[in-house]
Amino acid sequence: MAKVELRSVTKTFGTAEVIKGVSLDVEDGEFVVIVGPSGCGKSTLLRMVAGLEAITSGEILIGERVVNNLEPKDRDIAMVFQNYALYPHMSVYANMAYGLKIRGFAKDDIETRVQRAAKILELDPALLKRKPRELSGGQRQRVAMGRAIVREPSVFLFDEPLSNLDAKLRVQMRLEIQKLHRNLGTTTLYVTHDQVEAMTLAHRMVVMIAGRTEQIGTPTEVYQRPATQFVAGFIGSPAMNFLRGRADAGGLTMADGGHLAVPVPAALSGRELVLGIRPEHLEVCAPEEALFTLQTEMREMLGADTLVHGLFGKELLVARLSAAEHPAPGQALPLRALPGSLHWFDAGSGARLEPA
Amino acid sequence: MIENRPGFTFFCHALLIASIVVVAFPLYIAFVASTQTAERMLQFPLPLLPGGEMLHNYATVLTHGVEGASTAPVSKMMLNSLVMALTIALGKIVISILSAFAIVYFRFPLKNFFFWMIFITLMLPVEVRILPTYKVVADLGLLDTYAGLSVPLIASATATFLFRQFFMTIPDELMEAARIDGAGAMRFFWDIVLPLSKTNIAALFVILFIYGWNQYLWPLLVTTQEDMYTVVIGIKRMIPGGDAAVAWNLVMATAMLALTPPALVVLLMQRWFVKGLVDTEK
Repeated sequence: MAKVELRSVTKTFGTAEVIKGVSLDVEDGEFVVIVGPSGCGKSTLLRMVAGLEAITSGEILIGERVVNNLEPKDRDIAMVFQNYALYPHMSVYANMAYGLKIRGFAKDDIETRVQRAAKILELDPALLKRKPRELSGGQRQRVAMGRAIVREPSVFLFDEPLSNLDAKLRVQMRLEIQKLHRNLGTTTLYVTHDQVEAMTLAHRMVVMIAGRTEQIGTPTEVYQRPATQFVAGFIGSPAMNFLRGRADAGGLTMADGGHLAVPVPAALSGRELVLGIRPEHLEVCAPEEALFTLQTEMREMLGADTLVHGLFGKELLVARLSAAEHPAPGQALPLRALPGSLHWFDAGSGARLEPA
Repeated sequence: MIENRPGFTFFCHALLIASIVVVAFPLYIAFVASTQTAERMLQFPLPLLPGGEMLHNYATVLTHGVEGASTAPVSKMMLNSLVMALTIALGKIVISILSAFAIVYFRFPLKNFFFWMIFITLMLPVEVRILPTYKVVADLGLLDTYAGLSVPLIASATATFLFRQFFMTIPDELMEAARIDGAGAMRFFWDIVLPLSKTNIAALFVILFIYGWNQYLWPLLVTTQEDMYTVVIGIKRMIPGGDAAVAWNLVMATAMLALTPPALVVLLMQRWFVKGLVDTEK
């Protein structure tokens, strides 16, 4: 059990700065997910915590101890890799026992720990004698986690552990990771590009882009009050609709001449703004109540609901409507936004604007 | 072939059988010769069926050598060859697997320079550097020793290169996982890299053992005493120049003995050899 602290951590490869000053406090026992598009530096950041990458500047503390110059083995961490990194020539048992053996644990102690880990992960004891290549993807994933938990480290690091699994197994393993964390309560840092994993697993999530943290907060905070236009577009599926224009008393006048009769908070009047509305916060209404009218282009039936893609002026927008709605292509669809679901961002910086 | 044409199948088999006969016939003749008396081998026509002198011939060469030519027993020569071939094969493997490990897994200044230096030595086979090498070995007093026979042939760019290529296919995450598990560099080498290289090592061992066993020019230069001859040199020394009669039956018996160990190595390690060349345990 330990806290993890990152203090203005940076990383440069040659002249390229890939981590641009990240600060983060992970509380003891917390599950923090780092999420971001590929190439945003999230895996590099995790590998720096693990000790697999050197830290260019800043400090990383694990359990109040600066670990910048410690070897991975001395940091009291365990890591689960995307491709599992199981030793192919060793049995499952040997894979899980290897770290303990090197640390000089007694034989029967190793035995009990491995058996306990296998039990926690619901690994069939018969599998312990097999080689990793004789296992299915999900079983290998469990073994990789087993290798991490036998050591009872104070921090777990997960590097996209579910990306190599098929969709169904991913959902199942996601639940198991959650359960595992609830049972063990170990501080966990989890890197993923999948926003569903981030939303479902995280106590708090860190949204990263281009080596910077854009927002740190609980999944609900990040979803309801995205700090920047980037976060708003990245979290949520389908992505948030954005309409850019100049605010005036009557609403938002867009570059293509379209006008949106939307109540703009007085403080924002006269500024260049981006209005964000999530597809799931749009609903069909009577024409006189409509915020705007969507020219339907296509629709996608998802079973529980329907995604309607259409044009407003020249902007392509998406609305997630109930399955009962099936507008024909070309049909005009009057839509309104749910109360309190409008997000305002500065058109220049992309920062969220919170009119008082 | 996907088509099923009896004529074509027959042709293929006929060609294959003919090829086998072409390859195997000289071997058969050598074997037949090794079972005859010396006199019979000088008469015309050459015998095509085995004679009755087999045990006598083999016992003679193994224990006494050949009268009038090289008199060292072939058993000693076989031992010399075996020591040399094993030292060369194992030495090459040990040295090249360690240097490949250093080149792939460590960061040190001029790493690429050193790799290319090793690689360039591929262009310098034994024959090219034979005079300076002989001078060095002679100055060190290693003529007519096992060390002199094998050490100069141990450095191997080929094996280093092969191991380097193999190590580069091992995912980096294995090394990282081992680091997190607490394994140091040599522990990682011993516990992970070496077991994964098993099949490659076996394949290389076969190739290098045969390479070492079949060395001709180098042992010819550095051995002057008969009891340090390797069996390949022994065969050559059994054929005296001038008018002296050659004991072909004994020469052929020695030749048969000389080709047995490499054949055995190939036969016994065939499964590993193919595995090592074809797949890896990943």
